[in-house]
Amino acid sequence: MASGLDRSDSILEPAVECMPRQELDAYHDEKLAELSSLSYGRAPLITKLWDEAGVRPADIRGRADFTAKVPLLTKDAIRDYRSATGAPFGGLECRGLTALDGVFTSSGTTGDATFFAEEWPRGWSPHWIGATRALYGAGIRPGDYILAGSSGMRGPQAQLAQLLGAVPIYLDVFSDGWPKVLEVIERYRPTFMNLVGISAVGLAELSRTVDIERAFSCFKVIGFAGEPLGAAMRARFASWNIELLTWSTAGDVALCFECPRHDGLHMWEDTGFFEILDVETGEPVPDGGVGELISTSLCNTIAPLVRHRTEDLVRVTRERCACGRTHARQWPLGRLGDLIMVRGVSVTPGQVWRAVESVPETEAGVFQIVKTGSRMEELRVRVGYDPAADPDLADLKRRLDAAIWAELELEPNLELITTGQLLATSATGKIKRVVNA
Amino acid sequence: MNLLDTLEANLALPRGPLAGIGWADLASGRVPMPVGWADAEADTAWAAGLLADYEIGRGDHCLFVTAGRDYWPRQVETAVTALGGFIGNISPAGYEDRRLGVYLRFLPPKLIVGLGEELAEKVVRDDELVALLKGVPHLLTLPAAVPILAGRGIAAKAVAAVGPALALPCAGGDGAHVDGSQFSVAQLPGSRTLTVTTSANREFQLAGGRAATPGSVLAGCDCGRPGPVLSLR
Repeated sequence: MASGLDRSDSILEPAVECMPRQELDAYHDEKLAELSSLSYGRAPLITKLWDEAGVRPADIRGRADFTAKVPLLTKDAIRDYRSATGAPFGGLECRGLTALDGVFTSSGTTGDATFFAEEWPRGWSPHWIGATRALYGAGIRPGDYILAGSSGMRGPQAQLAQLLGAVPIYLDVFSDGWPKVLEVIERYRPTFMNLVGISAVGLAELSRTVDIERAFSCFKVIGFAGEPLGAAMRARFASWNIELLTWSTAGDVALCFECPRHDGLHMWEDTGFFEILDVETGEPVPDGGVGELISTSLCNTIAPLVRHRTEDLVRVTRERCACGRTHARQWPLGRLGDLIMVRGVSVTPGQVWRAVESVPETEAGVFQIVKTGSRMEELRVRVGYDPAADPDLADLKRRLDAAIWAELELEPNLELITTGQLLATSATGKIKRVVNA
Repeated sequence: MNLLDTLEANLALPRGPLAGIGWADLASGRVPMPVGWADAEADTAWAAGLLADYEIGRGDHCLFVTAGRDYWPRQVETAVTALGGFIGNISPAGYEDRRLGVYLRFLPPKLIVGLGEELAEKVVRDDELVALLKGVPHLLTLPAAVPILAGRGIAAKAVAAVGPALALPCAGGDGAHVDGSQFSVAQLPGSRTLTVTTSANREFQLAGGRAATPGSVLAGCDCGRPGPVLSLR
C-alpha cells in the first residue's frame, strides 16, 4: 500500500496547489469581477436575481462586494426557471449549446436532476482534469493500471487514468460484481479504484472468504465517495492495510479530494470560490466553523453557478495543510435536508451512524432514518444487520436502543432487516440515509 | 492557474502504453481486450464517418446509456464530440427512467445510443416517456430493446459489440456496419453465430473467434459502405 511511497514529488502543480493565500485572494478578486460581467446580461436567471437585488457588474470589484451584494442562488430557483421556460440550464446559460462538449447531471436525490454544462479543452473533461491533482498526489503514475468506467453519469472517467499516463481498465464494481473485479485485480494489479458505500459493504462480506489485505496489496490508494465513511468501516479498511482517499463534490463546481495527510478534502480554489454561511443567520462562518457551502464556478463560461446554495453542511478551513497545499479543505457533514427534529432534539444521520456502527452485527453502518415530517415525535430507524452473525434480534434491538440513547438521548422505534434487504432498496449504489415514510 | 494549466501538466507526463483495456464478449466468455492509441483513433474516425450520415454537428445532443464496462460507447462518444456534438450519459439501470425523462424534456437528444432491455421495459410503462422517445430522431438500442420499444410504436435500430468489434447502423439502411479495415466477420453455416477476426495491426488479436452476440451477415447495405454488414435481430 501507499504507506511506503516516497511522496516528495507528489504535487502535480506546486505553484498552484501551494499558492499563498494572498495570491489566491487576488485571483478571486479578479475572477469574481470577470464572472459578474460574464453572467449578468447573458444568464437570464442571474440577471433577474441581480436586477431584483439592484446589483450590477460594475458593483462587483472583488470578494467583499461579491459576498455582500450578490444574491444567493437556490436549486429550487434553477429548477423553477427551467420548468417555467424550458431553458435546460435553468437560466444560468451564458452561451449557446454549440459551445458544449458534455452535459451531465446532479444525482437528483433532492428533486429532478439538474444539468452541468462542460466545455472540454482539447477533448479532455475538466471534471476529470481537476481530479488528476489528487491522484497524482496519491502516487498514481504513468504506466499504472486503474479500474475505471469508460464513461458514465459524470462523463468519461477513463480520462482520469489517461491524463495521468495510466491505463484504464473498464470495469464497474456495482454491475460487474466482486468475483469479476477480484479476478481483474489479481491479473493486472491495479493501483487505484473507486468504491461507494454499497460496494464497500460487499467487500466486508467478501472478507470472510478472501484475504483482502493480500488481494488489495497492489493498490496505492482506493477512492471512496458518495457519502461519508463511518468510523468502523474506516477502521476495517485500515485493518486490511488499505489506504482510503475520500472525495466528494465541491459544491457542484469541481471535485474535492483528500491529500495523503487525510485531514479534510481540498477544494481547488482556482476552479471555484467557496463561502460558508451559518445555517440560521446566513452570516459568514469563521474559519473552521460549520455551515452551508456556497459555491461559485470560476472555470465554467457556459452555465456557471453563482453563489449557489449547495445544501451541503460542511466544516471548512483555509489554513495551510500539512501537505503544503493552501486550498481550502472541507469535511462533509451531511445534507441540510437530512437534519430532522425529534421531540425538539436535532438529529443528523452522522449521530445515528455512530450508534449503529458501534454494535458488531450492524457495524457496516447500513441504516435509514424514516422521516414522517420535519418535526417528529419519534425517531424511526431501519437498520440492516449481518445475518451471518445469526443474532438474537430482541437482544440486538436492546443493544441498538442503548447505543442510540447514549448518542441522542432518544428512544428509537427500530425496524431490523438484513443488510442485504436494505441495500436492495437502493438501485443506485448509494444508501439514502433519510427516506420518507 | 486554472484547469488549462493542469491539462498542460498532465499532457507533459508520459502517455500510457494503451488507451485502455476493454472486454470482448465471446461465446466462451468475456476476455480482456487491450485497446491501443492507434486502435482508438481508427475506431473514432470510423464511427465519426458513420455518424456524419445522421448529420450530427455542433449543438447536437447525443445521449448515451452506458454502464462504463464497455469500450465501444466511448468510441462513439468521442466520435460525437469530434463532429461538434455534445454528449450526455445515463446508466442502463431501470431506475434511470427519471433522469432519462429530464434529458428528454429539457435537452432533447438527436440521437440516443445504447438503451438496453432493463430501461426499455421501464420506459414502455410510462406514456410520457414513450411520447418523448417517439420524438427522438434516431434511436440506436441494444438488440433486446428493439422489440420492446417496437411494442409501443417506437422505432429503433440495433447497435452492439460483436466480440471486439462494434456493429453500428448507418442512417439509411437497416443493417449494422462493422469497420472492415479493422475486423472481418463471418457467419457459421446454419446458425446465427458470428465469428470475428481482427486486423493484424490491432493490439487485441483474434482469429475467427465466436462472438457472444448472435446475428447474420448481410450481402451489403444501400449506403455502399465497405466492410461487413450485420443483422443483429
